[in-house]
Amino acid sequence: MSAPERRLMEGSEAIAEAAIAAGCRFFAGYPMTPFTEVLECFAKRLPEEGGACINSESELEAIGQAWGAAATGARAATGSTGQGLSLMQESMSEITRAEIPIVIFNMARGQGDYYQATRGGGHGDYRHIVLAPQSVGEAVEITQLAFHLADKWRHPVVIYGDYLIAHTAEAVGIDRLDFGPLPDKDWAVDGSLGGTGRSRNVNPIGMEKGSKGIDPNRFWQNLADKEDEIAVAEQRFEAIDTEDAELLIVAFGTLARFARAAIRDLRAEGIRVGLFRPISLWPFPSAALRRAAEGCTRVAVLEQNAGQMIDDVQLSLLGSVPVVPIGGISTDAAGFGIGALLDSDLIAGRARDAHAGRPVPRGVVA
Amino acid sequence: MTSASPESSRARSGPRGTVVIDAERCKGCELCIPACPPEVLRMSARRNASGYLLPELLEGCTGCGACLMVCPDFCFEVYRLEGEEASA
Amino acid sequence: MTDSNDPLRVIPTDAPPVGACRKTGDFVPPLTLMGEHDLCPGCGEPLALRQILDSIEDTGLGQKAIGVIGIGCYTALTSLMDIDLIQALHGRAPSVATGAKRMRPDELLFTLQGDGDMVNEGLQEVIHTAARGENVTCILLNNGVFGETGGHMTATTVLGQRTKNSIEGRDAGEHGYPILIGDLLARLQGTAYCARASVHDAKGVARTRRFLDRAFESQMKGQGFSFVEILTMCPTGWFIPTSEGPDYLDQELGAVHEVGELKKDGVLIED
Repeated sequence: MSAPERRLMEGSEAIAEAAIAAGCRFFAGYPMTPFTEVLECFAKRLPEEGGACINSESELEAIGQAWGAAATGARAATGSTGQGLSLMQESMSEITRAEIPIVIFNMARGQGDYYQATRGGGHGDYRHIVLAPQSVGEAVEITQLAFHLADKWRHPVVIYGDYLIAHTAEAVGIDRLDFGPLPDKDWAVDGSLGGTGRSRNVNPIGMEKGSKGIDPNRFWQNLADKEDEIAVAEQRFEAIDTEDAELLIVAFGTLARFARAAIRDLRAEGIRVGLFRPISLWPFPSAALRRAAEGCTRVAVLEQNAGQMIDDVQLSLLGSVPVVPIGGISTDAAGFGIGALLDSDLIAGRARDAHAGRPVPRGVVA
Repeated sequence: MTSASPESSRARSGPRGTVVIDAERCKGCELCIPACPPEVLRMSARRNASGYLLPELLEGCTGCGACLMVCPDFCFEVYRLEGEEASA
Repeated sequence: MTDSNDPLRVIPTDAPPVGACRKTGDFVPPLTLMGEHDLCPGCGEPLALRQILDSIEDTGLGQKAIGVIGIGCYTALTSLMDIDLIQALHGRAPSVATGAKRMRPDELLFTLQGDGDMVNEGLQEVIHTAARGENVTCILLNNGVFGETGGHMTATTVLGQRTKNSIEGRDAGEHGYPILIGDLLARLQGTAYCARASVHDAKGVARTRRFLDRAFESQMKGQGFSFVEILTMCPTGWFIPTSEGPDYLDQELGAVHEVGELKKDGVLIED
């Protein structure tokens, strides 16, 4: 098979094409910056591929429509930005309990949705698999991986994107990636088992045909056990220059690319600094972070918010290495996340301070 | 409530039927009583194991199935009798 | 009540008749796993369920039906239903049914929702699903209360009706007016079939069955959105004896939410 054509594509379009390459045939969404173009791309392309894209009346219905499509066994997705995902949380929680595979894009306005993504933003005990690409190219791989993991585990996968990924054009080819075999979706409903005594009820509380009542303890424990397995199997990260690092910067998403540029400059100055980039925000790659931080004098957490991922860093290190925040709230006048922190020189300055043990400025990064 | 007299039900021509009632599933809601067109269902003094009062069938059932349609607990099985027999 | 001087002969009903006979009605409807459920005595919802399952079976759609269930007392009936189902959230069955139908256009997709579910929480969903003309059948079990929480006011509760949070009776000044959802949906262009039935007596149950048949037929013909509202008894939520349920349904709810066909083949039926 010849290599796919590489062409300049905005991230929104590349994500939609990657999803279609992965077999996604259903999308539903409601316009909201910076997610809107993802919806536009699906609206144009899915009918061309024999799929369906619905312009939903609100984000609540978008997640519901994707729920219904996925429950029939189709690869289905929805998305929004942080506020829209807030509206979707009840459904996301219940979809997780019903063990329905679904991919949800948060084209976020910065990094302030980390808690929402990683703590299970709705009611009850659950976590979603959360993957954070740093570029359009990585988003193309991660989008396809997301559909695979969702089907593998029968579990929702959230892709944490952002304005930059949505609106940056990069030269990409949409390679159709094969992540291996998956079990049949015999749990999915298609009507065919009606009247057989084996008909299905895809439901979030463990109702079973032919018996009254439910057993929430057992049902919820099964979900927790599955998540424990996911937590071991699906940690993903990138570690750069960490073997001899004295300062370890931890950053995710597009912000990590700015950190990488800063690290090149700092290394050229002789400062031994490395980068740890979680790619799976849940399960957070704690053991790998601990290994990367061994021998470091300080861990600097670079995030574009008031301090969210730093909790997971602290939990991973449990006081073994001092942790200092070097990011902060930083956005543009419209609140879309294009803040002054997205500057490798500024980041390098903060990293220098952290490395030297000098106080790092706190508050808005303007 | 009037009940069909034995004389009038034997004199009636037309289909003859009967029902089987699942007494243990019955919840004594009494919806079958007014639903029966020949008015041959009435509440008895018997109770099932759950303590609900039960309906009983008098002569004159036509096997129309109205009771089955209005019973929330699926307690009725309906039969049409064939031949000369007017009752079980 | 039986007494020892009773001249009327009681017919035994504990076993099938001996002699020539023909069974014309089974205990449970087709596509049903068991008859046991814990819904209240006198509840109208199982009556509606029976007609839905009869209709699906008799039109040969038993292996082509997917039900999307809302949240209310009727949710417990899913344990009885031997058809493929998807459980949705309160009010959110229409969107789930929409997504499912888009991926399974040849299957019969229907929702089963109560009035609290559909007309309170989910009003937006059903209106937009109808407006888009989605080829699904939404079925409303309307008893004018939130039954599962113990009998509370919904958007379809009629004026004067007492509920636990309108204990003096629904008052227009304090609680506003009921929404006649069937009438609302009939006026949307995407709605092809719209009808309201009631299970207060056998004739009403038979009418319910006819309207369901027509709604499902409309869906399978691809005409657009179809809707059947079924008024059901809830003596518990109405604080009345079970035997008074049918009359209350007919006279109180039925006087406001009027029974009849509102739209057929995309044409409003004005009376």
